[in-house]
Amino acid sequence: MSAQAADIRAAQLRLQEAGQELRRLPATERIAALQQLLDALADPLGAFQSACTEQLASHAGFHPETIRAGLRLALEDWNGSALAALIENEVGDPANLDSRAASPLSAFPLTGCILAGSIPMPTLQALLLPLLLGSPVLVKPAGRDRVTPKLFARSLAKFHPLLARCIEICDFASDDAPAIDAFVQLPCLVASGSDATLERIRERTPSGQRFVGHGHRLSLAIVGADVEAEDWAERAARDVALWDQLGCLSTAAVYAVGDRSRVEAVARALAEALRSLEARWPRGRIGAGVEAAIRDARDEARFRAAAGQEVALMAPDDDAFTVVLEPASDWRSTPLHRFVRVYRVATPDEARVALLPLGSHLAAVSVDGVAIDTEGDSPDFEAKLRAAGASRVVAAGGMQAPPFGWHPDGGPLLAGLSPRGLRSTRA
Amino acid sequence: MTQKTSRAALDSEILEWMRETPWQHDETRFDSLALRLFAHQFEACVPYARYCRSQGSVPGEVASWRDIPTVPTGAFKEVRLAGFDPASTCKIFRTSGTSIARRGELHLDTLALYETSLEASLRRFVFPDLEGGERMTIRVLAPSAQEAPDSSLSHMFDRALEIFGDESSGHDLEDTKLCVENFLAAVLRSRHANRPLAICGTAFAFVHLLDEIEERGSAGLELPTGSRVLETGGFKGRSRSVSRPDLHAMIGERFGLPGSHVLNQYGMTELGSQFYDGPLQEEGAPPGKPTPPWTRVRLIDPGSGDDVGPDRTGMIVIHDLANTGSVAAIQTADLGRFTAGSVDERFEILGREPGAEERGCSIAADSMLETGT
Repeated sequence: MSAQAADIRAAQLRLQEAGQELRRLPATERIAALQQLLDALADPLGAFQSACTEQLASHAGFHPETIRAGLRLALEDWNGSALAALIENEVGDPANLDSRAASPLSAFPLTGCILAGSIPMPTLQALLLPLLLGSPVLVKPAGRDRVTPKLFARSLAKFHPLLARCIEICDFASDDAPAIDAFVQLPCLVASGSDATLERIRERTPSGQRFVGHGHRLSLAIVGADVEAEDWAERAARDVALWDQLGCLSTAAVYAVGDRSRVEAVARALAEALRSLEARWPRGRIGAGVEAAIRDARDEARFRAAAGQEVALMAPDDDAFTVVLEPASDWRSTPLHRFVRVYRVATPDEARVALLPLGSHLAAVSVDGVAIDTEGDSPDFEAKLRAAGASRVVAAGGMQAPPFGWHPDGGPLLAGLSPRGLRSTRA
Repeated sequence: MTQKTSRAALDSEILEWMRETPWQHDETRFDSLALRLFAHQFEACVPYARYCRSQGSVPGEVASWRDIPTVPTGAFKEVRLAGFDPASTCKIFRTSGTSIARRGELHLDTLALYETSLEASLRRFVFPDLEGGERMTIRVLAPSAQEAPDSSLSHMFDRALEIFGDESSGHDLEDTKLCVENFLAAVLRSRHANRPLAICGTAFAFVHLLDEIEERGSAGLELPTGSRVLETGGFKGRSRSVSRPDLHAMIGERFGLPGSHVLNQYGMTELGSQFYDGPLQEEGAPPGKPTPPWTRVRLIDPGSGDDVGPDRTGMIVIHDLANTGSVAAIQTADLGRFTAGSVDERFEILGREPGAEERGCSIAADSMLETGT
């Protein structure tokens, strides 16, 4: 049932009332309930992960085993302790959240979340953080994931009914102008989506209101010349296969250091690892458009190989995965959905330079076999990658398990959601 | 065994077909020309020949035009796909792009086929009512060919101005900026004189024009009967996109045009021919774009590469005999569907279905590069 503008205004009124009660609660009580909630969500055998796996599979098209593995890995450490650590880092004493004088942060009377995509973790974080500060949340779910917000609210109701009343879901069409105009009146608006989507929402948001945009990003891998290829490939393939390479923390491409034979060995190992993973975590459904994009990109690789370029295509007969060995570091488009280009670079620094044009859209980089510690007075490799735009630098295999407190911009999570925090942020 | 034919003879035969009226689809004639052209291009264009060999398809063993190996449009970004001496090049059309993204190139040693195909299609689908050298006012929302010499779109619109435009015709986009005042003045002149106006441009320019008109609160822009709009191009790499039906509805409403007079053209830099909506040429025509007789469209299953049946969605593959100087068989990444009742003579464009960005939060990296960020 699609919500109308009047439904959205009615929901805002209910949330404002609930918000008054919410802010009378001691922060420690809110925090305790949210910690309990996170502990429950982190349980791989618990109700949330089971229902999310089952429902998201039919709704978003991912294979259940891929969802199960993705949730288990990502939520394993997103527990009550992780929330406590976030509060300590960004607020200090939890009691500060009760004291306007002591706290660097406060709560908006209402926060609106416009969600996108079908990967649950950003949704969980988007819903939980305003509640932590004491702000009720009005949610427009993503068209491809109407599941996670409902399950989140249902799980929360078990631990704290009042907090659960502080979430309302209003589902309406993205082109319903009256509904959008009603929604964007909220004092704080958090939106996810493509740059174009964020721009459209921002244009409609009244001036002076807080707008926090989380844009699309991508992540990459760098692998050194001396890394054992099979071991690395097994870990890197997990970073690719989870969420079918569609998350901003999914490895979209690999920069491999070495000569042609070394990089070909890396690419072949990755293809073999993806083949092996396909049996455990089959890729989900894709539409004709994605099928066409994959066919087109594969045929282009075949053409380049026939034209004498040092390109190699490593792929099964079906389109379950594709690895393309690239002779140089020049970026090429990718259809994703487990389609990986392995770029040959002579040095790690060539990889770093190659990803500079991607900087504003970069999320994380996995680095293996490259010394990342300080050498003399020059900045270490990790610092250089961070300067290039990467907000996470980890070893392959760990990309899809960011800490709860990670922000794609590398900054604090809560400040953007507080009237006293940053005026406006854009991821 | 396919008989060898010189390029000049092929050009001549194909030009003759393009000039014939009424248009006649002739499978035997197309098959013969396509196979001879394939043999010529295999011999003249080394990268194409290598690709064909890698696919196990060589002239003499290919029995039908349907079996001629197709190159992906991306191939035009990789190598010079031309079957003539570079010194004979008279024109290079380039795809749009940024300094980071590669640009595809169509090398031409003659504009005769390109322009003859263009004129035949424009006359049939966009200006079917202009007879005996009659002209009309055309305003173009795209840069001139002088401003964008490597744009096939600008070349196409300039040719339309030359052939069909009157003395009041011209461009309303200069230095990448819309000249809205000029455009509105042309609309007013058209209304006062009660003479129909044709507006041609890119879809993105139309969106900006409509936004600008909305902001100015300009009213009374309904155009005289017989006016028409031709839009082309997509929104790839643009900050804003509007679906084609929505865009046509907005244009129709703003200028008071019936749906039959708001046309879309499907074309690409790599092709010598284009495809147009047909309702101006044939009242009550079913939706979709009729194919000129010297072109064929196949729709293939992206997984198997097999032709799909009626009412099924497939990847658009185009065989365009106007491409004598490069490669005639081209595989696009666009999706299409044959219009009910037609057998590869009329098809609908479904564009490129959104994929990654709808389901995830990873940016499709080509979009990122095209926005130049």
